[in-house]
Amino acid sequence: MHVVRIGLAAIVALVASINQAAAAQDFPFDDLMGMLAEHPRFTADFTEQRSSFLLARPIELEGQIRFDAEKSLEKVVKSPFEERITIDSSAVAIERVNSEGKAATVQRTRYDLANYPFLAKAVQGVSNVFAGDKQLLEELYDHELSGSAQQWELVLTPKGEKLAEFIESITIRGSGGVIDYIHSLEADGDESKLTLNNRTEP
Amino acid sequence: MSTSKSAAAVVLLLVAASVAVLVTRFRVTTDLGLFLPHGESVMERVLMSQLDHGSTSNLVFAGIGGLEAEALAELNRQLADRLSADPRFVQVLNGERAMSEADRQWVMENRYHLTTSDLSGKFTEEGLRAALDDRLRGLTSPLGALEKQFMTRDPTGEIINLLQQWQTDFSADTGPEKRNGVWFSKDHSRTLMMIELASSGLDLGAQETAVRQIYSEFEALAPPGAELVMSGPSVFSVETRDVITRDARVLSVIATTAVVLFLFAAFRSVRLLALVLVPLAAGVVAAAAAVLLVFGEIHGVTLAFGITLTGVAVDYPIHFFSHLRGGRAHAEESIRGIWPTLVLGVVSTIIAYVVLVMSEFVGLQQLGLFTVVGLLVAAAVTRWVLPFLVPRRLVLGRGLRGVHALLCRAGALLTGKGAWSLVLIPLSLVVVLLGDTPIRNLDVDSLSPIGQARRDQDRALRSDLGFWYGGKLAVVVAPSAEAALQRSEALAEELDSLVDAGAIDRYDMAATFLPSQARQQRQLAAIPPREVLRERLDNALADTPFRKDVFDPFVEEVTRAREREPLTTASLSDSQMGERLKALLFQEDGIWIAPVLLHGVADESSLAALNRKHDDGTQVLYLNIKARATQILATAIDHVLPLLGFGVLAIYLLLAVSYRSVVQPFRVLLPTLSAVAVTLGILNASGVSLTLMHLVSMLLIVGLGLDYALFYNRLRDDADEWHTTFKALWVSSFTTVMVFGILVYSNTPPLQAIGLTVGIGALLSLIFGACWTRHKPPPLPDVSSARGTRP
Repeated sequence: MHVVRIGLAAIVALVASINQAAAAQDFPFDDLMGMLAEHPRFTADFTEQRSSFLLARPIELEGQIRFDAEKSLEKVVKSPFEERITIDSSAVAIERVNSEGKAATVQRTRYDLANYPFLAKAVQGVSNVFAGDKQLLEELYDHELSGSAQQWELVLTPKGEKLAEFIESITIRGSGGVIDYIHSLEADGDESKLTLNNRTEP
Repeated sequence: MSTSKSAAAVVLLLVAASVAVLVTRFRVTTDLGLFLPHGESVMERVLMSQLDHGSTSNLVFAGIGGLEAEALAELNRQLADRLSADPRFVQVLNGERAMSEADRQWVMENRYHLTTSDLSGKFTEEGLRAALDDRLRGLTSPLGALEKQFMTRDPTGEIINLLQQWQTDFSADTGPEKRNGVWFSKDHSRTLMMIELASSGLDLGAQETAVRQIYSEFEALAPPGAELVMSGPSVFSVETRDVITRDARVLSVIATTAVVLFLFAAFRSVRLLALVLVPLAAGVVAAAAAVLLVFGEIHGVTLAFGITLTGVAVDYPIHFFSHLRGGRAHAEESIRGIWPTLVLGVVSTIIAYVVLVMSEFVGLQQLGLFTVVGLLVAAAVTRWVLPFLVPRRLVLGRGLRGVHALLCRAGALLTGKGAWSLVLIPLSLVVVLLGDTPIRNLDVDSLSPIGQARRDQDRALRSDLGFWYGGKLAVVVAPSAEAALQRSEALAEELDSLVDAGAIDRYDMAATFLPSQARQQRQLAAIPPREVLRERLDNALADTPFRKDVFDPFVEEVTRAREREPLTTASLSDSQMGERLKALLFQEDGIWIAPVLLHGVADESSLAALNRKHDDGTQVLYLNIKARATQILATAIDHVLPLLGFGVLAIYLLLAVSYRSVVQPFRVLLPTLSAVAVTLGILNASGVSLTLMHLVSMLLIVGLGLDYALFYNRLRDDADEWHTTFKALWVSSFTTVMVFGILVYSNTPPLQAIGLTVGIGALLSLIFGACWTRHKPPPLPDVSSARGTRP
């Protein structure tokens, strides 16, 4: 009996691993990257739930994401405050709208990413996923892709120590070339859960 | 003879003492500042010397180019690592490492004392609410990781501001652009580094080793194609010294060899050569010793200039030997025969150099003293020592007879044409006045062997690094450090409006890094007591998602800061930053000086308007260093001109007394003055504007030309005598032209200027001297009768 059980377990494990291998072959990483690259421009509404060891309760942000692989990733926050964040290849630009009082003032700050080389890689990670930039992602992260082309999940974990100072992992879910959920887990335990919907492409 | 013997003994003792001085005290400098005018006021002098030798003088600015950006950044990091590990370098800044950890901690600790932002209003409930709103936004932004670093300690954001300000080292800007984590030039072609040497700006030897070390570390690391460019005060000092040392060595060897070969060709006597070198060697040794005794050190340029002594001092023994009838038995008699003329020549030459001693430039004073002593000793040795050394029979061979014959024929053509040559004086002046070339050259930089291209590189590197490249500054002078800082803060408000108006780009001042105690007290007064702060913070936190206890570290640190005394220069003195601050705030002779370095000055008039004496005993002065130096140089030249006039007058009086005639001196002076005028014309026509060095050289021409003119005056009808004197004359003036001509190949501008001017002038003096002789050259005596001591 004992032997049979072990044998069964072995068979189950074997079948599972074959299954997994088959699944991986069904939907390889390269294909996902290719599909993502086919959608270089889109606009989508987002809701983001951010939790932090500094916060007593998570904070919820709402707004719109505008992505253009050629230019930039733009995150327009509408609530609970107004802010426009633009990430391009060289900088993060933040426009803050202070709506206290009657006249709204806009304060612009530009952070040159060259000044923060590793943070820059962490910041640009999401853009790289949107763009299906296989080469960059493989250089910076170990990746694990599961599911099928219709319903996949990609988990990225940093390869280098420096990047790991900022990021623990990034989990992305989507179907085909369309991403609808991004979960970033930071090294200090802070988390961001970003859900995308109402996606349009020009 | 016994008086002669004791005179010889005195001279020899003098030379021996000189050797002793040389052996024990020899010390060479190569600081070309000695040839620059010094500021007129004490303050200017202090400032100039602080800028030259102060705490910025051990900075090296480096740029590495020639590769892809990524490779450059990597090379920069490797080089910085190697250099940081070497004790010869205090710190290496390249954008990656910008501040020592201890300094960083210190700045964070004292942020409420040091911050440049206004704290009033920041600790009210509204102020705190605004700060928390900012932090929440920051936390959710992509740069949240940066925010989180200091958030719980510093919700009002003082740390980030301060670090940004301090990390770029005393420049209030955000510093050079970074790529791949290290500094890059504006055009991205070079990666940048700023290296602080451990050795002081005064220890040139140590600086040289350090600079060479940077080059060799670079060589070891750099892949092919990479190029390192370095500049900065220490690099330039080392380069200057290299040039001057090379000049002194190479040119003196060349000059000595040329003179020796030439003299041998002319006289065909090894013995004579050996004897000629005796007064010369004694002169050089005594001259160097005199300079060491008076100045405590000798300048490389003085040593290099010393070679010109070769050209002048050999004249004396040559005249002596040329007039030597028979051997040693007649030596005393012969030297007595020419001694009056020789003395006249020596004294008139020396008058010219005495003028140098009286100038206000230490460098020129050294040159003057060196030559005066050198010539006096050479003449004394010729007079009192050489007669003992003359062999029983000295045979002067008749070398260069062709040249001699040629010169005799040329001389015959020129004889009696003195009046004609006078035409050249007004002609030269017309050339000078009508020509396009400016007469005076007041460019201070033209003195340095560091070329324009290198200076441009330095400017580019400094500008890329955001480092002040000299030139324009405001200076705050005050009775105390506190007064200087308070005045600087008041000045900062005016300067801020000038920045807004576009009159300047930005400024660096001590007060930006160390606020006055008054300001610190005002800032600290804005911090409420612990309980009040806690209450206001709790109220502000009420509507936010932040945890209530998250900002406890902030409350702790602010409360601690509130109780600490304001910082002073003393609190900074142990840190590297304090070391740097010394360049921007220092005490000298009881007064405090705070230079405010101005970048990108577009409108000088608005800055000049800042000049003011204030009631609190402080003073603000706007200075344009280059313009000021030019002005001082012009004044210095104006001072030298009357000296030149007095020099000529003194020589005239000397001649008038010795000839007991008012008219006679003109026979000697006119050819010389023509030579000076024509030299002036030639230089101007060939596009050379006169620096102070050229002007001083004019006086040297007078001295030398006079020497020739005196011996021309001795030309008599007696054929033998005529030819000996004439040969001595042209041989000695050729040696002069030769050695000064060799100086033209020097890379040290002051030497080059002197060489060019005196070289031309000496040759012209020989020609014009011939014009004023009355006696046509007699036919050359035939060979048989000339054998022996004759030429």
